[in-house]
Amino acid sequence: MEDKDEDAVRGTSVEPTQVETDLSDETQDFRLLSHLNLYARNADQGHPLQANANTHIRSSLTDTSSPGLPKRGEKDFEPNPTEHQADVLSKSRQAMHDALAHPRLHNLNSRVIAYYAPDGPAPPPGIDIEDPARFGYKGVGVNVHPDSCVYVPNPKGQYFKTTGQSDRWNRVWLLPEEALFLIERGSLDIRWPIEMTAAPDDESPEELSIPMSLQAAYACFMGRAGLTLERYTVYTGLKRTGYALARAPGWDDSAQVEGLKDQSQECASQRPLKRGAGLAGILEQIFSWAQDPLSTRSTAAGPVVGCGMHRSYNNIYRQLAMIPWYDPSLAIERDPLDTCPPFRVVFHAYRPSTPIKKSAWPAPDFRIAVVNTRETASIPTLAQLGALLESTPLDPPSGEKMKRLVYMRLRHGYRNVVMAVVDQGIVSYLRISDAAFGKEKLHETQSASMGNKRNGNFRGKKR
Amino acid sequence: METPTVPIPISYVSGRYLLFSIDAVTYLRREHHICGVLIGTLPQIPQQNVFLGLPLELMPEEARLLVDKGVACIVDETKAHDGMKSLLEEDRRQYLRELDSQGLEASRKLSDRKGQQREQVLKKLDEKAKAKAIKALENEGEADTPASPSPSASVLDEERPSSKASSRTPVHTLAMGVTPPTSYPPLAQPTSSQHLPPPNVPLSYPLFAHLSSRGYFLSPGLRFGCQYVAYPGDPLRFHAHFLCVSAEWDENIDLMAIVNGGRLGTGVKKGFLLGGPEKSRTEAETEAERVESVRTFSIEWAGMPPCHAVSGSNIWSAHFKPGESFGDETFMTIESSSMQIEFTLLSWSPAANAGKMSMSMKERRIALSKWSVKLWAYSGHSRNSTMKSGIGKSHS
Repeated sequence: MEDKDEDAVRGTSVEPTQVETDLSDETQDFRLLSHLNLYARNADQGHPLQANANTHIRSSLTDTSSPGLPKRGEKDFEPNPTEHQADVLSKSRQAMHDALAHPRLHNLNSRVIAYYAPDGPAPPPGIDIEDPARFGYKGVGVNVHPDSCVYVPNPKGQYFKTTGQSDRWNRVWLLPEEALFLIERGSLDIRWPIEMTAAPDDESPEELSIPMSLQAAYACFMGRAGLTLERYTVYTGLKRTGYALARAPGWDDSAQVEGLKDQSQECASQRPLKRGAGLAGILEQIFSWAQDPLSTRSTAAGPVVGCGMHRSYNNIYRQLAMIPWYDPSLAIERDPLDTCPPFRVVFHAYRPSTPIKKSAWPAPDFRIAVVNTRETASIPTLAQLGALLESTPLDPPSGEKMKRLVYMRLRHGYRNVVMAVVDQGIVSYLRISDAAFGKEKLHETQSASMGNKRNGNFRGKKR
Repeated sequence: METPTVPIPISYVSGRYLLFSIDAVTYLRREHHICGVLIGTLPQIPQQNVFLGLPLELMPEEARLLVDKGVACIVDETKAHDGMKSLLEEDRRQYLRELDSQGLEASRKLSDRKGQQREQVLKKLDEKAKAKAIKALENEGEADTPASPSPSASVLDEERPSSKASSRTPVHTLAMGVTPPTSYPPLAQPTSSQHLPPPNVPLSYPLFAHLSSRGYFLSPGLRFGCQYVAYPGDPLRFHAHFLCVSAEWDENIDLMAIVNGGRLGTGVKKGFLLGGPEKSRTEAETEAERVESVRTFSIEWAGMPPCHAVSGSNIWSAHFKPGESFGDETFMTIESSSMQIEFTLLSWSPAANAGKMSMSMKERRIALSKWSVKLWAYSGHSRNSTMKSGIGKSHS
């Protein structure tokens, strides 16, 4: 029954009407959820005959012909002392209580059992590996992440398509966030390690392994290997809507580029940018242009456009274009670690349609940096933002639509990154892209293929 | 909804404050107007972001308020779970038995429910088939169509007996696996000596505590570009009224921030509320003292009057006019050399006490430097008496 509801919910996410209204905007009316509840304390629960007559909400929701997420409930402006309002409120609260009290159950046929490994990946007990270094971390397997802390001895079901990595004994190792998400959604039964809870003289330790509570899972996994609650909130938020996620190389905040270790504490973005082509380089260009008499030689004495015959406006515009502009496609790519945490990509996100091979993750659809408002109160500086953008690969606008529509091109930009800003559990996603206004010559609007040849008009003069 | 025993343990996990017990969540919401933010996945509908489940994340302010009230205590959950290692054999077995019985109950309920649902569906099918048969019969009466009645009749005959038989057979008898939400039991509640000190709170805590003491429900405000969103009642049922931003009394406030906040608030049909304690952290000994001295102002966008130039002045100046038609509202006009912005400064007080305020507001002045505003008040009375007769204290 749970699966059916899940499918129904999933099916609607593509429905256009549902997408337009942002349902997550405000607190939801949990009364609309009561049809899903096993333990709903309604008097009519036991009497299906009355159930239909009593609650039109439920009957409309259980009607399979209109599957969908319940819409946002109606709200009042302010409290008044009427009994009606108090009644509705207490019903709402009861419904919320019931929805949240729903247990995480594991059907005997389909349950997946996992074990917590506090010390990280390790081979099964009793097996010695001769040459551990050959097989990745502790000889468990080359793909197994050293930060993994939960293993599934007998993986089955759909969840391991994009999560976890299997070792040499076909056990799947899960990262803390993966394990926590699976236990939270009720799909995984994680057990305390047997040696941690069972006395050694037990005859059947398998039967006596204690299931981990959700609270225990949070206590054990949160804070492990760089997993903050903010990162986890972003992870689950995207997982719930169907994205696949993987850790990015910038996950570890303390990690730095090899060659830069001597300047250890100094952040990449605080070092002066001498490359010229970066976001900050544009300022340098302006100054050097203003000071350099050579670049203005032709126009120092006379008009900018100059005298003579002018046969096309384009030439005039081109001569008028004397402000240097920033070309993101020429910026030098940075190492992802050459950025300033938290403005650093920590997650790679993939659309559900992207085919995924766990051993070799494809290029991500989105790169996500996670920022906690309580720790980072201000918006990033231009240098931090520039470094963040330059750490992502060039992603120029492509496709027929982009070629046609100049504003689409500007919006898409040449590099982009998603910044997830988390304020105490509430996430806002911002897409930041590196637009190239200088590349869009509005005086040449008729064709879309103007791109490169006029790209360095001013630049050429200068160099 | 059971009332949990106080103090309610708040889990301190990796620097954040979480609640895992549903009874605690409901109780704190009902009795103490603490909502928190649900961040977990609901196991019954895991693939959506509209309805979320446990755990509940509390702001440090919320946790602090509860601790100060003596309703809650902070427990280092990571340390508490080390207790799993020293669990007694007896306790472990009993805990497993308990989980087993929970699993049994769940599977029994589930099978009951399945039976019910099946009955309902079959009943509907029955009715449909009957209606079809009747219709077909009617049709037959009018136009002689021999083909239609036979299949519907066969549906009626076949479905009925089988449905009754299957609905009565039990589906599950084995206990299902259960993942409990909390670890208490099997762990024993930590004693008061193991509790952590109250959480550190940001400078905005006094405003938070003040609004909370006035009955408002507060939630984090990033969504609306502010620090807290204030709801007049439970957010389950009511829309928010205020976007709140806290400032220290002597803090320079960017005028643009006020203008932005005012516009933003008006755009989402909420008031922009600016407030903070009169006492700084150096002046007050405890946070509670700061909470006592909180004053709040709400700003509403009144419109854009025509531009008019004030020559030779690059200083923003502002003055209050007592608002007669608006009860305790007061207009504030800010002028600069080239433009004039006017918005309403609304003394904020519980609705019951509206109207008491206009006198003291009349004498107040606000001086604004070019781009930053320093809100300061002076009147015939001393500061203290202003405060007492003023906005913050009007509740008593």
